[in-house]
Amino acid sequence: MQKFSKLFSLLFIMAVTAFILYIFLWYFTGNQSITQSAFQSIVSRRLSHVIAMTVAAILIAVSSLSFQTITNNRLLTPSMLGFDAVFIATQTFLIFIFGTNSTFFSNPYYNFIISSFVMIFISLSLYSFILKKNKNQIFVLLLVGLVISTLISSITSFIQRIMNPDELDTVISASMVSIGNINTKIIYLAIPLMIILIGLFYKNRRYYDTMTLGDDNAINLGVDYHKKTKETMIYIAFSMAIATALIGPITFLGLLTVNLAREIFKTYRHSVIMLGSSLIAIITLVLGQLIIEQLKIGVPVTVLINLIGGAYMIYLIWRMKPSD
Amino acid sequence: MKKLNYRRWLLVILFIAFFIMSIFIGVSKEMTIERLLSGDKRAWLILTESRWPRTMAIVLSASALSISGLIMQAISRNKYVSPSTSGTTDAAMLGILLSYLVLGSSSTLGRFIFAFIFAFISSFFFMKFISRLKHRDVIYIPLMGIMYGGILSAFATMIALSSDSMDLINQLTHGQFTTITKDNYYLLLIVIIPLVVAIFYANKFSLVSAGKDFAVNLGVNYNFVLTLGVLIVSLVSATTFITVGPLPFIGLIIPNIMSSLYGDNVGKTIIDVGLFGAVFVLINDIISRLIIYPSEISISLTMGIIGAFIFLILIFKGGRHAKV
Repeated sequence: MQKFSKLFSLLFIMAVTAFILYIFLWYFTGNQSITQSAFQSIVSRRLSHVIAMTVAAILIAVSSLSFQTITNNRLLTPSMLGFDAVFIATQTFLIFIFGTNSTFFSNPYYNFIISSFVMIFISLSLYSFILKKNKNQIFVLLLVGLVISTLISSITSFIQRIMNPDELDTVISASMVSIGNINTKIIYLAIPLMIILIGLFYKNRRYYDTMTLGDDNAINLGVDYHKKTKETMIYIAFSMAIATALIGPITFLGLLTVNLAREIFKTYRHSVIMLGSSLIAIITLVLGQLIIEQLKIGVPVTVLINLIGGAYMIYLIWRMKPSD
Repeated sequence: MKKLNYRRWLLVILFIAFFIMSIFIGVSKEMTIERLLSGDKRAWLILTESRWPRTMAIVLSASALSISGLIMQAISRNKYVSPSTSGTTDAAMLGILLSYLVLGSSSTLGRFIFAFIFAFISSFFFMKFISRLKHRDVIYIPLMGIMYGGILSAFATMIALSSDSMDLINQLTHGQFTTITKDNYYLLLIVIIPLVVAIFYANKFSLVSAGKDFAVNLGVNYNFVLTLGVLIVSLVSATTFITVGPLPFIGLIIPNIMSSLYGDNVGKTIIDVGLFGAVFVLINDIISRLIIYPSEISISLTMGIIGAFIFLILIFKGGRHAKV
């Protein structure tokens, strides 16, 4: 840990700077003639944005890291399992079945719990079905996940097609989760869940270190590989469900930050990369959102990060040695 | 050989049956066989202006896409590669979007050229990438292809958002046969050229699918056939994308179903693949027209749902095969 402390403190300072900039910069660049109470309410709202982004960033970074470890592949991310499609489908069905005024939809707590529960339920039944059937074929799982998300989004579009226009408008605004219209109330629900999940991931860090060596080696060294894989998949499902419900789908954030952390820290120790990639994810997300606000680009930060992450992925692929 | 003929005849009969059904299904009650026979002007007008172009568009695009899926699977030697799982479709979309921004909305030829160039460059890049990772898992390659397509469409979304053309993207990503009329289906006739070339070179493609060394030993100009394949696929993808839009899963499932019946010989199956693809899309189109009659849903939805189910079955069957 000692030799990384410099890097960590640098990243930490950057993260704190990003926080402060995000919370206060708008005041200096915008119109300064506002009342005290308006100032306070904006600051508190932006503070909750930062917290939501932090929670989501940490969950995405850590779950992407462990996902890459159990798949033994640096180019994959758990977002490919189709959480966003399930999320939008849940919102659509809630409105379609119960209407826009029902508590299930309009109460943020119920809505958050129901959406997370559905996402977790679908991904877990998928895991147990596929991983039980074909031992440890995570690639099959991913492909099935992608196909099912196409399936779900087609069914969702069909339902939206036969909905009445008012309900459709509500669905569209509910499914465009973004940092601007984040639901601040559910943060208090998400924080304790995040702490528990990170604790569980952290507890497994030494297993993950061993699993980096590949399944054969890990099993030889006494790791119950399949059990750990399943266990990790469950944690990942929870983490991704919470992150998606909080700030919406960001496919490439995990891919980008975990790989950056690997390059910066040049280590295989998961405790180091967990912390490093979480910090990088926070910085990327908060700064990205800040830049977009300041430059008024009119593009959601999620799209921007997907673009950067995607370009980085192409670079990673291109750099690979032939038939590696 | 006899069995093959019997099956092919069955396909031809199915094809003719659904072709006729497709022509006579529609909102207008004036379009019946009796009226056509009695020389009713209005009935003939509907036939030549709308029904015939629509049905022909379905047949042409469906068979062309199925055959290009077959070719792509042969040259990449992977059962799960198709224009929609290798970024080709997304590249075509990006090209169309750029042509709108550069050339304005009027020029169909410009759109076609842009879509074609983008699809070609992108498929070529993807083929190069595949050849770099020969010894990977079969499912890994389509996964990478879908991710790569995701990057391209994130890029397209970004451009669309910053240039206020998000409507265009929404319109482009929904396959429609509704808008096909006598005036715009002529562009689809372009696909006849690559189709003829594909059938002419079918045997070469099946030699290439047996491996580079094998094909070169038998005197095949490997790189030429590979480039030709990519050329055919990009031409078909660009043309169909402009006229009808994306038809999900077709290039993937049709060749797979056919090869489970007839084996992997491209030369023997290419005609059946084209016919079966046409039958499949005709059925899907009839369903989309009837399900909320008199209005209709996008063919992308119907095919997204039905295709996803079939593809899931194929994946699980494939998994069982591989185990034995």
